[in-house]
Amino acid sequence: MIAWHRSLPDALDRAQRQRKPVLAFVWKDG
Amino acid sequence: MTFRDERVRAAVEERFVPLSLDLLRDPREWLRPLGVIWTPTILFLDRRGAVRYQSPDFLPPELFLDLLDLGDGHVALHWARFTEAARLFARVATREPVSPWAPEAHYWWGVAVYLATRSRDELERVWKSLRERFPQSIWAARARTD
Repeated sequence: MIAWHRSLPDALDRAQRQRKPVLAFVWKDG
Repeated sequence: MTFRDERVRAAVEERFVPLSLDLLRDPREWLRPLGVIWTPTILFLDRRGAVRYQSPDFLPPELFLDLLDLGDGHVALHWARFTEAARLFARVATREPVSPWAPEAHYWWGVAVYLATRSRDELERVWKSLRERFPQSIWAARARTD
């Protein structure tokens, strides 16, 4: 399974360091 | 199902930072700027957090892999990496068997080629083939240089 980040700020921090775009999967529980 | 596909998993983890957000439970200050009104939605953000492309709902793996190229291509386009964007859009536009994404990818391939070359002739070359291959598509209707 994909190792998803669960925090937008953490994902953007990593994206800046790795120079990659973010793929965000937005869903709704229930 | 899509995210369990090994090709999808590998492509997402290699090319993107994957982020999962719950529309109802995660902080509003994260979600409001994203403007999501339907779930699930796939968003492609640049590394400053700007949404550059989005796609509603799930897709089968083959179509999702094309979506990754489209989303990546739109991020590249907005960061003035026009040659890279053209390569990504062209890959979707020309793959066999023909992708349902092909007309849209073909259109943006033309845009990326134009921005890379500033040549109306190059734009027309790509858009002409879009009009010939997919004459009924909304993307062909947009692809007029006259």
